[in-house]
Amino acid sequence: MKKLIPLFILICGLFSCQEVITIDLNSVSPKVVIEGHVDNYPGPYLIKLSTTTNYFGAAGFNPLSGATVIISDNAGHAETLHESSPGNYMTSTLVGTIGNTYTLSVTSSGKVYTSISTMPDTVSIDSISSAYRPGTPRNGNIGSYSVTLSFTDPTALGNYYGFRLYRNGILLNDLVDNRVISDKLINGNAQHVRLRNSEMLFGDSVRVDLVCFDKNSYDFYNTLQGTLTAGGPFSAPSANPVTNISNGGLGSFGAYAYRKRTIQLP
Amino acid sequence: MKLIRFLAFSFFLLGPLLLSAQQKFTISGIVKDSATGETVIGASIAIPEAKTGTTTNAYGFFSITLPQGKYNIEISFVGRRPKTFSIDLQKNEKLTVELSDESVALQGVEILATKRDNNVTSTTMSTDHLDMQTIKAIPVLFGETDILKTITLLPGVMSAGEGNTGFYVRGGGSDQNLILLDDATVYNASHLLGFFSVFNADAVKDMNLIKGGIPADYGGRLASVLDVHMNEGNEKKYTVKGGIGLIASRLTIEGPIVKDRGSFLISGRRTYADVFLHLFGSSAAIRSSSLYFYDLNVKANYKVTEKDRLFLSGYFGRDVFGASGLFGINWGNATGTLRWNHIFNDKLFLNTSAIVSDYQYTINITAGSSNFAINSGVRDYSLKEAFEYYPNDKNKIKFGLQSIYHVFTPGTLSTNGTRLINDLNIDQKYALEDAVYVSDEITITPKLTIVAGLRYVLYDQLGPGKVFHYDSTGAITDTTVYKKPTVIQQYGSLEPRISARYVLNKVSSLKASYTRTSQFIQLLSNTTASTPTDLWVPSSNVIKPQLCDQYALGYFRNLKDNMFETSVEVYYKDMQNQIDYKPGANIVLNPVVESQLYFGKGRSYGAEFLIRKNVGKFTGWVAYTLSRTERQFQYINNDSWYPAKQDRTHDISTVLMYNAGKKWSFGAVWVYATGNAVTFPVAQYQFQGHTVSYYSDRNGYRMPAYHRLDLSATWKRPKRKHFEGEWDFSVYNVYDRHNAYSIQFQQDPNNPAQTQAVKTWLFGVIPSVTYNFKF
Repeated sequence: MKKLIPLFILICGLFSCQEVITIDLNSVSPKVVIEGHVDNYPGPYLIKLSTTTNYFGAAGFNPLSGATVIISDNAGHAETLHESSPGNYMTSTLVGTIGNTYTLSVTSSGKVYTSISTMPDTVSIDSISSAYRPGTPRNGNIGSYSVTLSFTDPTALGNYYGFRLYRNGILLNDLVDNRVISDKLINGNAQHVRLRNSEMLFGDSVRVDLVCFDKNSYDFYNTLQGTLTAGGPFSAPSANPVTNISNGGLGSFGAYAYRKRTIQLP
Repeated sequence: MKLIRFLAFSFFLLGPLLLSAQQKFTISGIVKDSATGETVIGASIAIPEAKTGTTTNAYGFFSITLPQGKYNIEISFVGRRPKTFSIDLQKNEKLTVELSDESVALQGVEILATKRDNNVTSTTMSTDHLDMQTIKAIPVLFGETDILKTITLLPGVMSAGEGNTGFYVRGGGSDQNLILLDDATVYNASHLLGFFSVFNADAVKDMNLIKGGIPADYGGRLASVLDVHMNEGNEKKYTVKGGIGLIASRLTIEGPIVKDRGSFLISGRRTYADVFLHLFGSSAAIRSSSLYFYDLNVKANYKVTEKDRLFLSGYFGRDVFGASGLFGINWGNATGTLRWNHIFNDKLFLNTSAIVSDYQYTINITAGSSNFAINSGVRDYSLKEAFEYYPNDKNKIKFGLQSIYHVFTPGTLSTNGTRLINDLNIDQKYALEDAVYVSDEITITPKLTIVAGLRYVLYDQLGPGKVFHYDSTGAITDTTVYKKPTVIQQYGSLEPRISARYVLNKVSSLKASYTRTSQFIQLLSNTTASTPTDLWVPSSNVIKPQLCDQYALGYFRNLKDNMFETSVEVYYKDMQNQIDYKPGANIVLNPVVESQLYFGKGRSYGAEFLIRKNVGKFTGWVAYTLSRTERQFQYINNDSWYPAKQDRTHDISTVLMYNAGKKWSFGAVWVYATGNAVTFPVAQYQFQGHTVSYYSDRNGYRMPAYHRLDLSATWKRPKRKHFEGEWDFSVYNVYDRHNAYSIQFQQDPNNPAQTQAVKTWLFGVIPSVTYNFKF
């Protein structure tokens, strides 16, 4: 459906204009934000804690220090994470296992935030390929690469996918930067997902992750993408993403299972 | 002397009784326009001697019963030269009265102010009638006369936003208006994403907007009725009229089928923005794109006998929008109405209508070697029997029945080429809406008139189909499959419609009304702009019918011998089973769309002030509405009342028209409205390197106030032979106000560490010119 948006914008673009304006916004007491996951590769796993700041204040990560962070699973393992730097809490011994259910518990200023997630099975990558689209050199545009990831959705319903893109070992696109997919409409079919990033250049080593997660994580990323584009004429009304964190906490915690594949751009 | 006085007094008391013992006769007939033969709707028939009167119905028919005797009959209508004649009523009389155009008959002569105290004396309240002459004189965007834009200038009616033909009536949503074109429901009244309405002004004869005190013969929507009638066609001679504008051109041909017996009208319109896109598009993609709409109105009528008249009317419109090889979307309405007017006798009139109404959209998307198409829509088949019975001069009775069969296609997805996506077929949904109604306009005393009406609606959600049952979180707990067209869910609604008018004196009256309305189908729309993918869904086991109780009270007073009309109306509305959306709700191609909704209640109250001048060189009005519209939902804002999107504290519309003589006329419109209630972020946080907005209260903020001035000038070329030409010049948004269409909060693209609010506005100053002709 996203493809429709440009065509709507086409007509508005015929007339409309934009300008930056000033608006007075109220401030609210800070909320706790959780960002982190456990996955099927060896740890340590990172849980980032922060708090919200005023909308028109200085943007950026506002770390939450001194919280008690515990991850436990249904196999009897429980671990208290240590704060390696302000707001960054790391595991030491936890090993993510497909099929296990993980519970995150964060205690800060006397409030407890919990979140539960079960790690699904991985789905294998059939192939990846790259394509080069030439640019117009006289405008200084040297063209760009896209990478197409192919996989086959299993016949059982209830698979949810996200994608990550790395260039020479550095994360270019995280899960929020690519549209997440539910198999509701595509169940059992082969899929070809094109991932684009203008920073990819010839000779680069590009890694693609096919990340599987549960419905809560899908709902979070799906609605987060809505939140990031809210306010436009053709977007949904402004709302917070749907979170699986209790007690008014923001953000998301999930157990992800992924497979990766690397390609050398010609 | 005392005896004589007593006798005289007795005679005075008994006189009316003696008179009523006299034999009574009925005057009935049709009021028409003398130039075109078009019937006149709502013409007033006054009989001063009897201190009574009536108005013509939607087919120009009237009937009034009086004791035998001599009477003067005054027939008048806005913009027509009134006609008065005397009649010696000794038998039932049948009349055909032709009214001529004021300007034609009395060109250059100072027009005498006719007694237009209809707003004071009529029993209708909360009702606005605008004639096409007024509508055409008001400046509009791109010079395209648009009745849906014009009605938002009336008190209690608010525009849903710039570039949007949606309108809010007394706090109702834009899907709570029943929009009828020749009795057929128009599901999507907008073209080009709402910049234009589907009503081609050249094909429209008359429109009536009912905001409160809705008569019992209308039903199916909560907030209002917009009843639009198409022109019937000139039954005297062939005429061609048209217009050439910046955006669209129009052409209308009309004429007699058989002179004075039948006529036809064909009216078409098409935009040509796409032509400019092809010529001046900056890229190949834009040059190969299509962007246009067209519509066609067709109507024919034939008087089979003196008592029977047949009408056939149709509307067909399509919007086409797309870029070749990438995507395409087209959508539109089609309606068809076959009507049969039958006059049983001079007291009983019947209109039978068979109606089909259809709204569909199709989206085609090509992605690599595969392409897929999404189809969705709604189709209605309905039958309506409407009787009007005029037993005597004290009662005017309407009764009838209506049955509508709805077929909803929530969405099908079909693919071909490489299969990436599975075909999806969401079950069609079926519903039947049956209604019976009766109402009586009773003249209790010459000062007090009451309209007592009752409507009963029986709604059935019908099979076949799958019905889902949900728990409180929206998860499916159970599925029932109905294989046959059985009743899945039934709702009944008994709707009293009562209004009263009390005449205080010659120039003022008080009116009051109570109306209950229900609505069984609703539009799900999850975006700020009205998009063709907005989805109509029926009431079901999950979606309860919407109900509304409205109480209204009005004071009407005319000043300076009816030169000025003034009115004040206050209203209170209580609405049940209103709909809102869960965060991130997905309404397109969702088989369980009902799980995406919240249900709650609404209320709305306000006061509407109107002062209007109808006669003289200067005409126009000022309308001011002070109102509040709120909603309460369990899961939104902690179950407390919050302002609805359409809540507007202040809304002012000023319309001025100046007729400078035969050649020139001028118009000006100024509007002001409090900004929509919206949700703005109150904090921000980081997630995966993105700045995310945090929202607290729903609709806790306001968009900036909206205001705008439009001007127009019309130059009429003196008539040569049979040819009339007219140039319309207009300027939209004269002082270039950048009214906010949307406000987006985002990371500053030049400095990602900062956040900013970006306002999008649609239209700055837009001049336009249109040429209209008629021969």
